[in-house]
Amino acid sequence: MKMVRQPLASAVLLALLIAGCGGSGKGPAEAGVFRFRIPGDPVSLDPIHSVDLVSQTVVNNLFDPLVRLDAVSGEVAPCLARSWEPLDSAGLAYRFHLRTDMLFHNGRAVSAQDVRYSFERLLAPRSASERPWVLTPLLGAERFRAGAADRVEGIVPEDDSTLVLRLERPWAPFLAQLTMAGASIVPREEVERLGEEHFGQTPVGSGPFRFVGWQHDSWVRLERNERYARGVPGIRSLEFPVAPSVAVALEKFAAGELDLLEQIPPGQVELARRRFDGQLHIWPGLSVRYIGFNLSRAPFRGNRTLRLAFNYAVNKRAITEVLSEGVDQISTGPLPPGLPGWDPQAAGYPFSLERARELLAEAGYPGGCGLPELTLLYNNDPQDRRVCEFVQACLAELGVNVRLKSLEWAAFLAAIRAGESDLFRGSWIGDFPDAHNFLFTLFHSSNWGDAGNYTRYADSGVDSLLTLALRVTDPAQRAGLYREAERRIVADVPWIFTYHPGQVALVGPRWSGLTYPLVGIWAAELWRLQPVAPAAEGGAAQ
Amino acid sequence: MIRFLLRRLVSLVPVVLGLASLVFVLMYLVPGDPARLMAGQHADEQTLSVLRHNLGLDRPLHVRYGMFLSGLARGDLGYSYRQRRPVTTVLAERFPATLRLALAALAIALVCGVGAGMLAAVHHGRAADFVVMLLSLGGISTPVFWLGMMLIVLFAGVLGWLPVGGYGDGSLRYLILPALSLSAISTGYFARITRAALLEVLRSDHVLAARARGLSEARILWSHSLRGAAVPLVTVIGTNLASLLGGAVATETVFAWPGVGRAIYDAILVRDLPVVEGGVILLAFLFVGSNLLIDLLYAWIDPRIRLDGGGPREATG
Repeated sequence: MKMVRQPLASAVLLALLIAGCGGSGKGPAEAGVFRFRIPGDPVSLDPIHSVDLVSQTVVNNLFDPLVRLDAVSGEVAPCLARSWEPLDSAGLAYRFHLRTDMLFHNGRAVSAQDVRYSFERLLAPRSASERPWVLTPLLGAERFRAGAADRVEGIVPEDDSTLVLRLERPWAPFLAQLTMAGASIVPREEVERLGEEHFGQTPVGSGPFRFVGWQHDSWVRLERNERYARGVPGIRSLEFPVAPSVAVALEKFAAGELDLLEQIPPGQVELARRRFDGQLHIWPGLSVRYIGFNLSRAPFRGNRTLRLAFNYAVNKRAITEVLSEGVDQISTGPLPPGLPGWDPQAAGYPFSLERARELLAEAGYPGGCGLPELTLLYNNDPQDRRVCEFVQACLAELGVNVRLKSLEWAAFLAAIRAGESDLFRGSWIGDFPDAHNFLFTLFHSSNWGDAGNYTRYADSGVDSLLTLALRVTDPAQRAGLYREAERRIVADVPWIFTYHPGQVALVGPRWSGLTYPLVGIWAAELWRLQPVAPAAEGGAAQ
Repeated sequence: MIRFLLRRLVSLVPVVLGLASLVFVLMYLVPGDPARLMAGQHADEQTLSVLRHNLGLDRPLHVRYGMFLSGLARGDLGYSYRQRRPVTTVLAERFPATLRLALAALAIALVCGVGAGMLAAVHHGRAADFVVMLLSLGGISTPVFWLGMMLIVLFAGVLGWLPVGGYGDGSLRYLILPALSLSAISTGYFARITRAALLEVLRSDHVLAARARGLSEARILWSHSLRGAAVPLVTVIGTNLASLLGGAVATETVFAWPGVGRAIYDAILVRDLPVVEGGVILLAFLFVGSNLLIDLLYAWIDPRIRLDGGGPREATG
């Protein structure tokens, strides 16, 4: 009897003992804690290495940049800098006046010297930041990066609270670029005390929340900064539980374990709307999805009529209303609706099978005759698959034969960079609300092929408009230039214009007063949140 | 015994080396540039070359391989490209969660699987046997993803007894559902193996002799049969433990469990080669370690099995 049962029993006991060590659980709705689901572990909480949306979501609450984006209007708004003024008409220099009441979480006041340190740290090659381009327009930035100068000439602290930034050449989106996470201000003594490696694990900033803890792949927790001079947040603590699976995250939301759940994919939206009556919010985003033509080879090279036929053949309304359940908007061009330069009058290429057939014949392929089988490459995302299958079906109506090819993300990127297919599923999410960020990245010939212009589009007229728009400081004039550039691009038909993804989130019933961000980064400091049931809260509300 | 252990440990070296080299070459062949993936579409050539230099990606393959091997010899698995931290730290953070989940799942599988297998063997050919066989088939063939979701809907959603997922504060409440769904396949296997092994033993001569001596059925089962059935069972336990430790990616994803499997999976997607390498090496060690443990258990269960005799291993009831 004792021979086998005992070892088995003791093994079971031991396993249970090891497995069972741990404290007691927390209730699902802790007072004053706002729970914000993130789909994966942040890469790093060091601003100069926070390259993904998840890291930026957390970093933006821990650190302050000089200027912030207003979450609603998308305008550049004060943050560490209370005001700024241009020093010349060409937009080559700006003077910033810093607030004197902003403190790092270690209690030290933020000064203009910290801005210099943080900016040089982002640019320094030994930091190996992924985002130095945010600050490369600064005067002398390139020389500093090349090791030819030990300071960046264009960063001039005049005193503790005044700073002048000079640029190499006029760069209209510069202020918007300063709002990016990479340009956040960090305290030198903490970076040096912790070391580069650990600073990203236990960050110290000056933001509305301070870092409490991070269990990798599990959760990140922040507490509000009680001394935050720009207004103490209404939330006592901000917790980011990691939940990779959306289906499971929805169950967590239903169980009251989450207050905010974004990125609900098509196919789940209508279900969520029915299940969580009144808690689903949809608002426009700052991105574009398209089907790109490979313009560097036949059959699309030099055959605008053929590209036009493909555009008229795709029923965009079916995509936005059926496939994406009313969340997305039809795209008439690369710029998302509402962005300065976007043309509300543009009609795009509305669905017309008849027109498509005529154009196809005109292009030299009547009824699809003579056109080889084309490959359409996409990355293995369920919604992209549905959209690409739909495009394939639309083109089949014309008699055009399209073969779908799916790859995982990294291999997909490598393939479209190499220009390996006739058609590909493309996407771009804006870094900041400026048309430059869309049109220059995706269509300027200097980005040809490898750096974002995957269709290999090149037009000297469009190039000069985009370059000129960088030098113009008057917003209305700039918008006009971008509108013209976009008009020309759309007329050249480098894409099948499909849709602009909207944003979807479920917001739990415990709080009210959220503002919905234009660029998918939530800044909880902007929420003047009110707990809906004050009795349940531990005095967290303002 | 010592000789046996030494021999086994030495034989571990080529296994780990071969695996590590295979992963190294595979990750090199798969398209996808880690520097590009990190820097994003905006990055200029200078940023990319700085990153590549920083990660050592600008060196020729044989140099990188040599550096990797010399690091391995020193027990240094290098730095994660993505997280810029030592791989050993990244894995050490996640290993306890993986170990807890695997051991809890193994415990559940042992209790339920062996119990059900015994029940089926004793009631061979009757309703209980049929039900156990059906359930075990279900356990083996149910996708973990689906089962996990169903458990969440029932126990966390409808009944509200347990948290939906996550590691929480590390308490047992968070462990129950992921361990249950991970244990399903092993439970099914254990039930079938236990039943088959017990049936064979129960038909054997020495059990017949015991029956002839008038011993009770319970006494026969506990004292005379289980030990004979243990050898095949232990084999399955070992291989199961190894796969529970390494193959829990789906469970870890569904339940947002911060384990090694998910870390490797995520690292593959972003081509974080050092983490993939380190993770695979860790799993190889665990696999070989579990097998070693089983061999030691064999000898303890059945003294006729000699570890360092080098003769064929066989055990018949």
